[in-house]
Amino acid sequence: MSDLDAFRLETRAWLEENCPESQRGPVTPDMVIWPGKNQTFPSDDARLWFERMRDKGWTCPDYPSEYAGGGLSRAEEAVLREEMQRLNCCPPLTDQGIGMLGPALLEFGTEQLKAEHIPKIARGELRWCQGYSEPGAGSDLASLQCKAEDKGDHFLINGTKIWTSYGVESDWIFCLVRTSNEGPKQEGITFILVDMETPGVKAKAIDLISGASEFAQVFFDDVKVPKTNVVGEIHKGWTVAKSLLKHERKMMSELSKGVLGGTAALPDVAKEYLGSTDDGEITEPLYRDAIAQYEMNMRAIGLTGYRTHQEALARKMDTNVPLIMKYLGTSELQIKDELLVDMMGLRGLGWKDEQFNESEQRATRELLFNKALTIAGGTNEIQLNIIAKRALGLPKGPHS
Amino acid sequence: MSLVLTEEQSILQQSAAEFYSSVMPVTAFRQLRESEAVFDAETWSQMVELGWSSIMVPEELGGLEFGLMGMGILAIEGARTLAKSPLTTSAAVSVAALNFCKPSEQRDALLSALAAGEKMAAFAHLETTQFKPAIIRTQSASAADGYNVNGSKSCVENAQSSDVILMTARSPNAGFSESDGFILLIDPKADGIEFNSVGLIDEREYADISISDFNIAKDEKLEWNDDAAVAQVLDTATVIAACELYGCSLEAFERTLEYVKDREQFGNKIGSFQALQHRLAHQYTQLELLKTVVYDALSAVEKNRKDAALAVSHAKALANDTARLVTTEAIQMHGGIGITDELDIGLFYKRARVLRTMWGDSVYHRSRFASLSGY
Repeated sequence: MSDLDAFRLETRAWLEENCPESQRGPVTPDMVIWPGKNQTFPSDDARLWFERMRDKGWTCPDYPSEYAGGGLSRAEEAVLREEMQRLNCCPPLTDQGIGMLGPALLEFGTEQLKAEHIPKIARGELRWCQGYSEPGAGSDLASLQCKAEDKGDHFLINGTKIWTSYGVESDWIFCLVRTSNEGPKQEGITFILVDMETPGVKAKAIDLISGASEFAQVFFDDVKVPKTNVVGEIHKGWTVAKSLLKHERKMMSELSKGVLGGTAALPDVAKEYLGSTDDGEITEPLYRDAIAQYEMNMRAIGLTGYRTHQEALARKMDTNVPLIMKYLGTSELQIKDELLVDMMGLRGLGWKDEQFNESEQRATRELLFNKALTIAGGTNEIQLNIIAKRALGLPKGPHS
Repeated sequence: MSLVLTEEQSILQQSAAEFYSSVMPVTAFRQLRESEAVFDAETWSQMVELGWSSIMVPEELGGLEFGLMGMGILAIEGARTLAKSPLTTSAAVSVAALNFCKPSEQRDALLSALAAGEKMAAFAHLETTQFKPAIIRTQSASAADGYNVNGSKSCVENAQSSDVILMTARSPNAGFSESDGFILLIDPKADGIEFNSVGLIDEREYADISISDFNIAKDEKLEWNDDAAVAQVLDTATVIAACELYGCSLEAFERTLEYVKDREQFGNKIGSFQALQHRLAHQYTQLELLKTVVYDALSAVEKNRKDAALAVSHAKALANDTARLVTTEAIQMHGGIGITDELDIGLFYKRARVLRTMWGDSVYHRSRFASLSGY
């Protein structure tokens, strides 16, 4: 038996022993375990599950163990993920610190920043949010204007950030700020960490068409931030941001796999609302065809993710393929949302009254909320621009 | 599940790409078209020497037993130059049909002959112009010293140029929508068999076959391994067609990419226009998905996985849709020259258009995928 096989057996046994029944999926949004200074848990089981995973470093299994991570190799991490999927385990901790900031700090942070922040991310002690977009800087992110003035040992920040997920609930924010107006717009941007309790920081929730307000606008009014909080070099934050965006897109393409709950399966909904034959065949052939098309596309996306994983292990990875995942995954999820509501008819369009059941309400809310997915983290049009340039080597256009 | 080629498979892919581009480029297809020949015997014997005719034949019968994945790689690469050879009809589909038959002296001898390139075979199953694989009306009844065969087959590829036709049939007492388990070895040059050639837009050899009062010997009837055998042969043919569609699409896409980087209008390379860039980028995403799904289906059939039928229907539906998108866009992006016979792009469209219909269109395969998934 190889070491990896032995690791798999051990991991399987440990998860079966330590993951409480209530923490096995399907994972619904109210089961999500968030970090924070004033961390609360959906249930006692959730706390237990979180603490057990935290103590093994498996909230961040690929982080080095010196920073409270699991210290697992890439192959071991894949095994852990597969075994967690097998039991349908709820993620023990969900945060933007884990998948985005942590890897960026490991790559670009000073020893001091790593030692201070990474263990807190892994142990769920702080909740993080991201300050990238601004009202005037969306797809054209590099034109951002939020200003950080050099005051010797600190920066003085003035300006605003928008579309900050969980901006109201978070403890710290990682930001892109403008430290210089000279040269190309990508230069003169700095990546910096800000404690949201610093005087002058204010977060205001944004009401969305879905009725949720996951996003916030964050205002900075003469906010003093020590220079030691800069990640990477001053004026070179764009490099850090680009590396981090890759992680963000990967995370978003994983969202489409229904990691965070997700809506009911299309075939089940079709049978319930449209009917089925004695053989269990959906009676409406056009919906049946559309569902098969969606299910095929999701299967193809899933297998392609698996192919890139296999290619990486064989050191034969085509680095262009991960570029396509966010575009494909988010597009398919919106196709699913629309199909679900189509099949539910008016029952899929409830807004106010109690008569709509939980899965109907979720279908409606996701339909509306998921419109964000093809916009956030780089719109699908931006994704296609990137594919055209990097994967296909197409020449720069007059407007790109 | 293997979605990455092994070292040996990668080497095969490289040598296939080199062989097809040097020995059988699209100009070779055009020459065959001029001469109205079906194949070039010389190139086929080179392919036999490379071992390609024996890839799917068991080792004990003189084959390489390299697997369907290897054959799929050859089908993909061959489609990129529109190569015409007996490879897919004889070395892939007919060999698969024989592999799924019970061993017998006749079967083993034929497999060895196909591996050695001494004979070519064609597989004749479908009887309708729409894809209805369950219908078998061709009958073989017991007669003195053998069987008496009557029936017809629709649009069989390479039947006339083959040395033997593997024909599915049923016995008179079976219902017409079920096979009761055998194939017949038919000599295309014998009396009692009639061919009506069917010239399709991809300019390959197809013919309708009618056969009446045709006598075969007892040992010219081969028994299938089991009830699933016919479906397994059809799945092999279907996944090979998906491979060819992938090859055609990839080639048309790469040629188009090169063209838009070169062609100028309004003082700019047309490939710099976002209206084209986004469409090409989308096509790239579909081709990457198709590559995955085709490899998965090849591996599923090769390893006789439980979900092989589902994987094959997935591959064919996605191959059809991607080929439709990519080969029509290839013509559109080439503009006027794209619809001329002088340029190869239209030939890729025509080949892909035929393959999309062969072995089931997307609606058929999505429906099969849905049934196999329980809805």
